[in-house]
Amino acid sequence: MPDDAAVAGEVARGDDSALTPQQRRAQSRPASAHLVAPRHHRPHVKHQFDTLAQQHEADTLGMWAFLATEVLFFGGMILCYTVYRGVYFKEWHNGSRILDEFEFLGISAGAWNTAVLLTSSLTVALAVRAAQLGRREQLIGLLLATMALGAAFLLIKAMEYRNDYHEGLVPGWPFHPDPRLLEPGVRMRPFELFWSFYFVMTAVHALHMLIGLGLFTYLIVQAWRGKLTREHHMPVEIIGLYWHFVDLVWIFLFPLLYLVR
Amino acid sequence: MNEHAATESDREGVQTKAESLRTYFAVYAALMVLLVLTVAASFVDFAKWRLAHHNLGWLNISFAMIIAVIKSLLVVLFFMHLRHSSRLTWIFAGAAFLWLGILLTLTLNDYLTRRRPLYEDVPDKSGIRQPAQPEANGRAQVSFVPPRRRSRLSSGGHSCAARLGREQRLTIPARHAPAAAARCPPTAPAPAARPPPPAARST
Repeated sequence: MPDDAAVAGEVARGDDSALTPQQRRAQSRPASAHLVAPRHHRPHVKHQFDTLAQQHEADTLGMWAFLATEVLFFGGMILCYTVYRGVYFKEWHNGSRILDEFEFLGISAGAWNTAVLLTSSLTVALAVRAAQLGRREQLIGLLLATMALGAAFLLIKAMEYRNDYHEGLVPGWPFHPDPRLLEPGVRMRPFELFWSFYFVMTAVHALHMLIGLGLFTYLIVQAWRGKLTREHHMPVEIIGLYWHFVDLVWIFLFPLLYLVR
Repeated sequence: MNEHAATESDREGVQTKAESLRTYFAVYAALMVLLVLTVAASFVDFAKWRLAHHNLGWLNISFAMIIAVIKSLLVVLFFMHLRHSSRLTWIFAGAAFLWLGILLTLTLNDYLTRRRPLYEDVPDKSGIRQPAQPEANGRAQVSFVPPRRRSRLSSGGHSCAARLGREQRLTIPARHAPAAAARCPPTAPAPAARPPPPAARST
């Protein structure tokens, strides 16, 4: 790297070929550079970041790193489920049929839940857009719609759980399904294992949804107080990423649990 | 980069990731169509299809999984804005699914290629008599397939157990199973579904 005196001389002569790309970039400041507020006047940029864009990039990366761990968390469960699906296919098929037959208006509860969650994903995406454009009322409305849809999902899930309990399909001591629910050749223990998988996977997913609802409550309070502005919209985007991931998990859980054929 | 160059990129940073409304609704419509497709495909029983004596039952899970992957790609690319994200974000997201792929392929590579299914001959030790075998009380439940049950919002009772009535339940504790089987030989026609007699309970 050339020393500063030499660089200064070359720049003064209009020849910047000796400069490194970084130095060249630093030389070409925008004409409005003197209008930029000092760092302590930009409250949304934390002091370790140069620009808001850089801060957004770091926020997004951090969330994706967390989501990567979540992918593997759910992936492990889905893997175990899939292995046992091959081993005990009859039992899995039977359990899946029982699941799929709990329905509202002729459509299985699982399909309803998928539709509800996909719709909530749309409202979140629109909420992120509203936050990016700084539309406060629209943001609050869309977040409330998302929460309503999330609550509808949990309500449908709770009705399914209730039905499963009354059918004696909860593993452990309450497990006493009517033998007439069983197809030929279905054994009780693997059948119970299917329901263990079903309850653990859906309950962990529902727990994520509950956490998501709590985060949305926080967002609504923040937006109500006017804390979420056009520049400071990143909380909506990050929590939106989380919610989309929860949707993503259900996109895979639905065919795996309900559509074993 | 120092703070003097901040204005332009700040303005850009706010706006770069916003998709148009039309894109969002188009993606949503595609997702719903794919949902209908996957449910519709589940009604087709590919296991009954034959192609040169090969069972096509694997097509069901294949269709369901392919559609799920397409749906998730739509969500990740458009709703999660990965389409407009930096390459570093792509690497982070890609790493998650790369490791998931390694986890799935290497494990299933083992389990799906074994010649015999695992645990096929493990006896059922639950103590509840297996419905595949003839019931000890002579009831024919072997090939019984229950009718479609309804939820509370549609017609019909919502609980099969409730509709059938309490007295027809056939669960007994494990320790009673041999005694009950001895008391009710398969040939003897026994009255339907009774709890095991108290004498059996003490053994």
